[in-house]
Amino acid sequence: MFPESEKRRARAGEDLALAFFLADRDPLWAVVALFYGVHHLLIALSLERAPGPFTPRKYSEALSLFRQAGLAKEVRKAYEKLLELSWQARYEPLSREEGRELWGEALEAYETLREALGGTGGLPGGPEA
Amino acid sequence: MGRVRTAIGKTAVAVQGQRGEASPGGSSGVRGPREAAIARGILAGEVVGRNAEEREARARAQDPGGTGRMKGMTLTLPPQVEEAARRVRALLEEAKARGLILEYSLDDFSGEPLPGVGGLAFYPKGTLEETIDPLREAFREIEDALGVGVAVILVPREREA
Repeated sequence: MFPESEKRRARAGEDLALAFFLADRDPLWAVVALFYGVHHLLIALSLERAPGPFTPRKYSEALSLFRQAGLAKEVRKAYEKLLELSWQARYEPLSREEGRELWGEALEAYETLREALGGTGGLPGGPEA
Repeated sequence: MGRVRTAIGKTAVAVQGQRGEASPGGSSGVRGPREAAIARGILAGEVVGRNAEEREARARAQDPGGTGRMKGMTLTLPPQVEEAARRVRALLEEAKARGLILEYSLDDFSGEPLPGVGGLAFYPKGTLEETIDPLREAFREIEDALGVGVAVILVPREREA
């Protein structure tokens, strides 16, 4: 019914699984994978709520789509926080230890997002999974 | 990178990708050879000339059912994007005056159907999350008030000696 959203959900599941797989091995890349898992998942949710011909190509467009789809402000804030953390993970010369701290922050944002979604959306994984 | 001046007095990035932050699948903002050609035209300073209009007309003819994003290439930004950019800049300027933000750039503007404003801002390393969080909250309020996505990436940085 929503082929793009289904593809996005599948990709989200892969990225989130990868994030938790990487968490102990390479926390910096785990943060990046976590962000993109959330990125794909929120686009999927938005397309299911407000299907349209356009998919975002920039982060500002993604936030615009999320708002149009009625995603809660807390969800959008958590997305932006994860975006910031993934930016740091990629572009800042951080140590492994700093990477662990970043991963801890990313997990907090991820949990906030899960709570804000109210358990809907089929967010896979999680630290307890 | 193609840039033109907008009414808000900033340089808008006609072809995104400057910040190096690409989403999976690639998001340079240049979506194919046709747009790449137009981007080269913009780089060559043709954006306001007849040559650019001809290029765009040719591109539209080649893609009559196109995404509508070609219109965005001419950078006629909707008023709400201009207003959102003005408010975001005002917030960042005020934060900078208080020492909360070290420096920032707003260089990413999108029109319909997904209007947005994006940029990058650095704040002093060690700043408490509770101090920086109201900025994120303010960005979301601008989104809700104007219907414009606001993605300003806030990054901690050491103060320069």
